Amino acid sequence: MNREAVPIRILVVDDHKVVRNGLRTFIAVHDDLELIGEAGNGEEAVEQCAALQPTVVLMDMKMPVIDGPEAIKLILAQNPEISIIALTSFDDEVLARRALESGATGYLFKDVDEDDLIAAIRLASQGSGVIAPEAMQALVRRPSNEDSSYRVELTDRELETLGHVASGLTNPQIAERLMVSVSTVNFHVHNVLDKLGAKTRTEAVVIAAREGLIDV
Amino acid sequence: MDYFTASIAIVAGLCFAFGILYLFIGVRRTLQRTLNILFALFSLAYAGAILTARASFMADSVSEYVSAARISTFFAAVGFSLLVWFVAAYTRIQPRMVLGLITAAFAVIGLAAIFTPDLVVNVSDGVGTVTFPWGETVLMAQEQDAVLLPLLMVALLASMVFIVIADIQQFRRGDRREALFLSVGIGWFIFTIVEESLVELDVIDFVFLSDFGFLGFVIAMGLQMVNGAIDTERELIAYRSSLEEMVEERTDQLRAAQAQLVSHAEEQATEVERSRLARELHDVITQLLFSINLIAGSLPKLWQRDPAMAERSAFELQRLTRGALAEMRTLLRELRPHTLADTDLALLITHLSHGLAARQDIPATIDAAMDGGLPPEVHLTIYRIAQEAMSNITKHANASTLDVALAGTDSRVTLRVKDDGYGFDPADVPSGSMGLEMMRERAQDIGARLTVSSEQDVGTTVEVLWEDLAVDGDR
Repeated sequence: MNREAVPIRILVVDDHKVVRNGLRTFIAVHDDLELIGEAGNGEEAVEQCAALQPTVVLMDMKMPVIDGPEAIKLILAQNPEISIIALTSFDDEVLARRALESGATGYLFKDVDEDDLIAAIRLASQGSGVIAPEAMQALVRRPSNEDSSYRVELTDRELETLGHVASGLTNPQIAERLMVSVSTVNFHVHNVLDKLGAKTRTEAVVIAAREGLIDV
Repeated sequence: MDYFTASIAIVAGLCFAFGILYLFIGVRRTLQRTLNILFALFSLAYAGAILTARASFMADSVSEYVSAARISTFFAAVGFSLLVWFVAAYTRIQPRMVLGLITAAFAVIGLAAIFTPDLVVNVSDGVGTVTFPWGETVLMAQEQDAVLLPLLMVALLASMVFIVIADIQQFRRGDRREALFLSVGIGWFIFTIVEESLVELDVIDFVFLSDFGFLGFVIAMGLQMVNGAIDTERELIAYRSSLEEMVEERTDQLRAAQAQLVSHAEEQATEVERSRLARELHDVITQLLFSINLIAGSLPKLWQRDPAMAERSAFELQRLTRGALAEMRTLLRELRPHTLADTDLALLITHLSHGLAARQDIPATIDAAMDGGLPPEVHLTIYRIAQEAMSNITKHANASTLDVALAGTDSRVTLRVKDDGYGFDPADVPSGSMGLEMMRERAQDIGARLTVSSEQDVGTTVEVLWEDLAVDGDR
């Protein structure tokens, strides 16, 4: 894992003080992470994001004032480059779908272990998402009420690229694997998102899995 | 012996009795009211006709004969038009035109008989006598030659034709028994009328039978109408019993559905309770364990970097695990409510406080001790009030310290839950604030005194005092 010289700027959003305290300790012992702020609800999160410009937001989903999915939408509308990881204790399909449709980069449960959490934060800082397997299962099992049978035709190269995106690789990593330039990968990823009608790489993976284009 | 006049007096009496009887039935019974009343009026009119005819037979003078015969003709005309309407109602064959014409003809005849001297009853040829075989003699006009007599004949004939046709149609329609009774009654009636004409024309030498014919008709129809009533009654009884069966069946179905609903509601209640507990587990325990896990995982590294902070974190870990345990116990008690009553109140309050302290990650001062057991309802109420107060702190206070004190004996208890959070203006509590209201109601139920004092940015203190007044009074 190549550590960058500049630490990843993190905002922690949770209405449970005890969770914020735990994350604070966790972030404190990792050199490549920096806690730049905390918020106790969705509204505070939107304000903090505008003021502090974090790289990654760790966000609870069920919160007072503005809940997680709503806050994600508002944050991304102002700062589309921020990566947001939903961190929730609820195994709730609807919540997961709302979060991802709002543009969450990742979706993790609060039983995630340390190593997975740090890996997810590092991936998110590079724009890639991680979705907890249970959430993924739920999303794939029941498609959202949109037209479930839209035909998507992806080229072999696009499918290959999508497969790597699904396994959590960043664009430079994919470029390395496929032995092409990063801008080519960017082009493929852009096309895939376009064809699938996805706003984020994570949503693209969910749609592709649901449509049976890739295995999860 | 005046056999004839005596017997027609009896016939008139019988007709009168039938009339009264059916009038009574018609008034009381809603079913077939028109039919019964028509029959009654017709019988009464005919009773009148027979009595006045009898008077004319036995008249002492021509003028007496004439006045009796005119009234008798009037009654007979009214009776006949009622008969036609009765048959129409009975057979349910009602050609309005025919009925109207026949009624009009009889009305003309009836009114003419009363108001004109000789249009109907004409004695210009004198009044003779008829002697019956047993020597009884009655008065009778000779050779009647009245102007309206042909109209009377036509009206009578039209009535008979209508009745016969209605009877046949009724029979064809399938109401056979009703039609047969009518034909027996009317057949006998027609036969006697024909017989009377023949007697009058001296073709045969016998008594007038028309009055008896009429009685026969009344009896036949009366019987049939009773038959109808009995049938209706039987149908009603059958209907009622089938209705009862139906009601029983429906009741059974309803009972089954109700039982299903109840069990469904029970299941649902269980489901609701389960998901509430699941939510609590998520909301409280998961957060604590998540934090514990993160801190525990970070501890080794932290120890190398900053031993002082590591030590603080270790203490925090202890507080969090103690809190998780306390929360777990509280939740388990909610699963088995009877354990609430059996557990020392001081221990319950301590667990609640530890849970809150861990949840909020704040230090707590807890001083809880009970010397003796409270009455069950007081014990439970104090616990619930503490729970509510602490739930309010979690939701609204954002406190940084918690101070809980409980002290009591078996007849007196005080509880104080104090925080240093946001607080509120007691004069400005929104009316929808269920928490405070609930605490007040609970306190009131056991006769305890609840005091909530709060100041903005200073904190809130909830105090409850309960004393057993009976014991106090004795002391």
